[in-house]
Amino acid sequence: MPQPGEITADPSLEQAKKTSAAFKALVQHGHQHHGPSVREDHYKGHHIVIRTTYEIEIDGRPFHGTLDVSNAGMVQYHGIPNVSANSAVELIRSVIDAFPDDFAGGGGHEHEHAHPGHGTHAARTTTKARRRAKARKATKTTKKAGKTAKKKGSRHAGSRKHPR
Amino acid sequence: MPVRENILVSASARQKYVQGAIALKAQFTGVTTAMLGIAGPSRPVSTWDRFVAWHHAAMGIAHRGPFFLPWHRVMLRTLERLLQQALNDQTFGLPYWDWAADGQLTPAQQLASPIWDDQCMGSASSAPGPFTLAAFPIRLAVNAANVLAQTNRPLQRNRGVGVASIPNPVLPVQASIAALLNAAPPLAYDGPPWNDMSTGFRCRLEGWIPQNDLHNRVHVWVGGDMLPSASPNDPVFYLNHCNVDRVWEAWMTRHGRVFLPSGPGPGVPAGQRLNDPIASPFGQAVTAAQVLDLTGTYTYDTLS
Repeated sequence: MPQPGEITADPSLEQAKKTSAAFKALVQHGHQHHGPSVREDHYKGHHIVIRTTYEIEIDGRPFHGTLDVSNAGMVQYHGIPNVSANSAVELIRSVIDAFPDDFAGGGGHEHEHAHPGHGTHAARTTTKARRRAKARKATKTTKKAGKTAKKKGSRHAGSRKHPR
Repeated sequence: MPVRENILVSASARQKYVQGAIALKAQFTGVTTAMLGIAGPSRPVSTWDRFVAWHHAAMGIAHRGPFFLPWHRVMLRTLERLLQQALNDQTFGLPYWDWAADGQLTPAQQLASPIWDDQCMGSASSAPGPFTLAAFPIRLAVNAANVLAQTNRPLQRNRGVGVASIPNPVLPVQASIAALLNAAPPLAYDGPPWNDMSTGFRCRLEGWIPQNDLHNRVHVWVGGDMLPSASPNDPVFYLNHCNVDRVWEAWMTRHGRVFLPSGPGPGVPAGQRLNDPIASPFGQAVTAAQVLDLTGTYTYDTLS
């Protein structure tokens, strides 16, 4: 019999069956939320709630991962749990780097886009992908509940110059 | 009692770790993909690969929060015991990779460190060293949508390349560890908001502050299978986390075996308090409180 608090290690099928139902649910659904990313803050007696949902397409196909935004504006994704990025665009580029097999065939054309106010970024598309893709799009809806946060005075969001 | 040694110092620990990893990869006890909720035809899952699924399933509790360190301590000790069984050696201790020592090297030297010798972790970007497709096939992996799925391919790495948000990373340096351990006043273990913005020790060791440092940067530096939530596919995963556990042990030795949050409170994450359970598919659940002091279970060759 194991002692209380002892870390035991039983690889048997019998032991696995004891936890399999809960484990199966976690593997299939995880701890991940599938709704908007929710940020909360308290400032001068006001309670701020910011819900953010990303709608992302890569090469015209929807990307179903759920992104999280921290109060500092950093964007993260459970699929690459050790990475944070300064923007959703940067994070999705990292997803493409991390899962090359999922995006095989997406290379072949380096195209520089210049977007006023958003700097310059390189979009990798192929002829095939360009035919398939109507657009590479990442849109975000942001709802602010509670009292309106004054951007300049917000404790965490004040330094953000652009939506992330 | 097992002594956890530097893998670059102990040839015995290195050889046994490789041998044990390959043995657990080939150990099947009847657990199937169907039991784990993994889509596709039901196939046997090896003991090594069950850790991959365990880590993936625990994504929401094992990272970016107070349980980062105790959760992985439970995982490491569980694997260590299974390796002891496979090796028939109750004194075997998991080796660690002192990546901050390699971080003192130039980027080119980091890539050529002895840890990447073909008798150790191997240097190839596909099927490195002892981890050939035949001996060490990757059977479970996540896709870009973070869904755990069946596969059959070699282990993959992409050392020193990074990703778009962290291009061409280098390994963390010793000064970062020293700053963590010697902060004045000492850092609290953790604190509000209990996530990747906390100013405490856990958040910094995990690698969120400064951004993309320490533990996180090692994952990114190794790349390939070390990037996704299925990162325990790569034996380097445990070498990284064993070093993280060693740094935590060094910090507790200096500053006390204190874990926060100790109980409920505003903003405290549910399930990540001192006496909340850490579930394991290999045995009974234990609490964070119960794993703070394992000095009677294993030791490290050095905490410096």
